[in-house]
Amino acid sequence: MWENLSNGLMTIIEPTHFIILMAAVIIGFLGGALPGLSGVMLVVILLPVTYGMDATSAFMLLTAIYGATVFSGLITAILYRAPGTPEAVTTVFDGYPMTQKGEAGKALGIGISSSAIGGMIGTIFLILLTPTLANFALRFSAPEYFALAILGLTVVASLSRGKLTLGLIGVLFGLFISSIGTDPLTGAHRFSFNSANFSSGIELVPVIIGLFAISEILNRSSKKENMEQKVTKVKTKIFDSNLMKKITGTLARSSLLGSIIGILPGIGASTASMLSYSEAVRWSKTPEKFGTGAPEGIAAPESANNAAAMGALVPLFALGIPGSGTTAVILGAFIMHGLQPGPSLMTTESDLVYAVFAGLLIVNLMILIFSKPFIFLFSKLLNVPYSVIGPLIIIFCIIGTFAIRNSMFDVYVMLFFGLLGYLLEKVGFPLVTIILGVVLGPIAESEFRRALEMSNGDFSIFYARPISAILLTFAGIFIIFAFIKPIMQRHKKRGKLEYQEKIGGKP
Amino acid sequence: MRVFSVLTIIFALFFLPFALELESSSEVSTIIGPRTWPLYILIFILVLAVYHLIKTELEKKRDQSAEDSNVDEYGESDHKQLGEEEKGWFENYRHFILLATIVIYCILINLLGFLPATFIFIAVCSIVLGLKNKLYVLITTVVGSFMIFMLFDYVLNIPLP
Repeated sequence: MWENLSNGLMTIIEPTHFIILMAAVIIGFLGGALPGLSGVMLVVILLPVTYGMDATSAFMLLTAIYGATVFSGLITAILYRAPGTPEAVTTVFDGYPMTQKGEAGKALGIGISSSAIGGMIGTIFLILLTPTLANFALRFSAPEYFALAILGLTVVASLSRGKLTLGLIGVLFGLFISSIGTDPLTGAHRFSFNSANFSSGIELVPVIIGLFAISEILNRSSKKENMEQKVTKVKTKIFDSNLMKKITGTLARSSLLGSIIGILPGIGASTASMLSYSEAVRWSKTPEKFGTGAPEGIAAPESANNAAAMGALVPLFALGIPGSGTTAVILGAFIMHGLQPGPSLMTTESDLVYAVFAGLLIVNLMILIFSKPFIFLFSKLLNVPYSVIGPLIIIFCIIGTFAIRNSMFDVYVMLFFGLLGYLLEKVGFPLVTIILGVVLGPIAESEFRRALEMSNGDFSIFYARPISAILLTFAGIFIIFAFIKPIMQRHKKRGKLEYQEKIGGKP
Repeated sequence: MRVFSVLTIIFALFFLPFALELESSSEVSTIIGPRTWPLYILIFILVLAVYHLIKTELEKKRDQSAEDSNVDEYGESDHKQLGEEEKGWFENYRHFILLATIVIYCILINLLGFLPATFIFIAVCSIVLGLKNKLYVLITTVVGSFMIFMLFDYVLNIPLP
């Protein structure tokens, strides 16, 4: 493994690769700065740019951008109380009070160094765990893959943000989309309406670009122009040895927690930052200081969300299961480059995988170096109006969709999903669940059928094999828990209300 | 919310006959035929959508009975809606205009070729999105088209539509 890793490092030192990494970090920063660009969108927009690259450069670029966007959300969170990425929501709690106290530079410094440390610890976890997990998964065959896909699908419970029925409809809708086209096992055409376009199936990328990028542009265009933000002059101090000593414990704990949460599929960096914040409060000797500008209150969520973002790449590389919107897009990018993430990728393309790993290590270092000059530039970029960026984003989306297989049909599919995504977003529908279904649908169906071929139609194959039995049991537990949770919460709420009525307080 | 549930039900019902037309498991050599999977998916969608419809209707009824007792609040929300309607129709439908612009752009690409269509599109699109200064529109258009063309065609060799 060390040999592979040093090979990976050698790959990065090559000038073109190094420039790509640097560009990726800067682009990732921009994602946090330009209005209306989220991490998912940035990766989506840059997909077409990677078509012309070799696979190694392409994935270095995409994963590095992914790493940098998770970081860049903290800048606006601390300075303007507007988290640039959903992962940075928790950072607002203590970051903004510090800015109000005139300590914005200190807050940014803590955020940046915690992010970089968390990201590095997460990457180390990624490097250590992925080969082990992939090795283990190499022994999998059809029933295990089916079980794995089902386990991946149960992630819907956490992705649907409390709207389980909608989330389930979303997943099923995604599964349905993935079943359009030629049946892989028998060659039968499904829902093709005798059209050549439909019979080759709906590609993943148009669906993703439509649901995430186009719908977001439509959404923004229907709103009033974004508010003007005044830019404060900030002097950032990245390393403060006294402060660092104070937050070392928090950093270590949160990074560890973040990495582990990230590895579990579907829980994601936002949850990680939330959980580690509450853990930091629990462990603190002065919990009352949280929310008023405690350094630990920035260190905990920032180290955790970066660690979790890296950890989320473990199931992606080792098992081919995406844990979040952005990792789903990266998975789509792999498939487009003709690579299938999963256990075999580690053996067939180990050079690529280790180059990506080494790249992520370097990216986290670069964050430390680049963030200071960038925050200066940042103030200029916030003034770029959306009406200038919007058209360019749309054209990137169109080219990106078209270039997959030179088909205008895909572009119209993308626009359709853009409209659909916009409308569904309005009713609060969890869009990521659809992607989950589209990504895991083909695996789930064909492995299910292949497994039954293996056993001659005997369903016992799924629970007679230990690994698939364990995975399916976990999936079952997740599903049951997801159904019980809202009932339990309602119960709790009712109990609380009754209690409040008794003591005569307002609910 | 009701519209969403109804549309989902219609969607599932629309595809159901197509799913039933597919070859069943007994008609093909594989043990599970191409019909099984999509059929079950559609049935599940149908069940969930109906469940969702019933749930939201019940919740609405409960909310309404709670709201009836509070007439003041009801009047206020009515007033707010009127205020929103006064906003220009352009602002209200800007997203649909934008979508229409994109569709027209895609058609234009086939008719005029990529570069001229893109030129027109960026200009129109930035105006739709609210760029007022004419000079900025021009700069965005020229620089934007040039950048995209250079980036994809020369640097990356990606086929343009």
